[in-house]
Amino acid sequence: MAKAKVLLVDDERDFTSALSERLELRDIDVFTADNGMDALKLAETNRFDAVILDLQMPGMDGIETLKHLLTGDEDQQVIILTGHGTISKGIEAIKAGATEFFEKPVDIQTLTQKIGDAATQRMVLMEERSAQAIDDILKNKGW
Amino acid sequence: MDQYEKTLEQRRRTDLSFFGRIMANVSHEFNNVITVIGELSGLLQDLAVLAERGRPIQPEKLQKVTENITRHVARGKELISNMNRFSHSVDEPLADFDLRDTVRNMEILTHRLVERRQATLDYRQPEEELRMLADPFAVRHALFTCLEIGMGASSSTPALSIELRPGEKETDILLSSDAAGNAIDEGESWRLLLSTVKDLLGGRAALEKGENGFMIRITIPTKTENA
Repeated sequence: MAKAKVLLVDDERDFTSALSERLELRDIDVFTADNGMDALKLAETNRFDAVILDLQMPGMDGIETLKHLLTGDEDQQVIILTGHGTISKGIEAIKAGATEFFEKPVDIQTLTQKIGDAATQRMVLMEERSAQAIDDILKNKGW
Repeated sequence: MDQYEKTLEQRRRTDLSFFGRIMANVSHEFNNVITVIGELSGLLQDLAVLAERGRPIQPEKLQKVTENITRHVARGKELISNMNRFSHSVDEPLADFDLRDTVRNMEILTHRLVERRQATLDYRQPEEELRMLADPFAVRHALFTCLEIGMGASSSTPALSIELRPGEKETDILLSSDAAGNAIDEGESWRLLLSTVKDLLGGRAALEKGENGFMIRITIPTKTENA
């Protein structure tokens, strides 16, 4: 089975560096970005099973980055991992399309499990879309 | 409630709001420090588990991780001690202090706010001690309001600088910005700054606009009159 591939977006570089090492030790491929713009660039050229995203970052904030990520790929699974864990922010993130919302620090086992769930969910969504696309072709162009 | 009481109540609220914003910002940054330390110690645990399973330990790796932990512990300690100094600034309405330390205190506590705004803050600290007798909390509030005005000016990445100019009876605190002078918002924050400087510090504030930036000049008596 292929390794899960995640994008970790946070402006706290020592945090992304330590967490990515820990995830890599758990057989997860990790890319990192310290701002929203760089995250979007990476997401344009890579297919990530999950994006782990902070909310408070310089420039483009987490909610805005989340919205752009989902505009580019509506199946993208985004896990919010933030120190700014207010209920209103959580609701705002989930409403904007995030799949999970965690307050820092998060237990590594929990995060690894959620990355696995996100990868499975993404695969299911993609398969459903493929099946739908084939169905549409058969219905509309099956002459 | 008469006008005086209303003004007093409004003052209390703005002071409390300033206090709350600083505390919220510091607690957020402190949470980041704890999180980084948590991940680094988790990484050490991971390496220990792998070593038990036969993967050789790289001493230089351990050293790098522990150095990082030490660095973040120092960062946390600096934050706590500055938060503590800030909290105690409300103890006395009049205190003798070194203005250089007060500005440095606010520089550290607002570091993340400045960074998040993608601004830069250059603080040129004078070598000589700059003793003042004034309300230390009001000075901090004035500095913060100045910074907010500076960061609010419409420049994508404002470059701000703070300079202190001691005089015989008065001291100038200058906040300069490279954002065009007409970009500054002279609304609520500016009125708050004027009121803080005039009513609580017995001083004055002026705005100097230019094509290549603007400067806020706060002039406060080195010794408050009723001292």
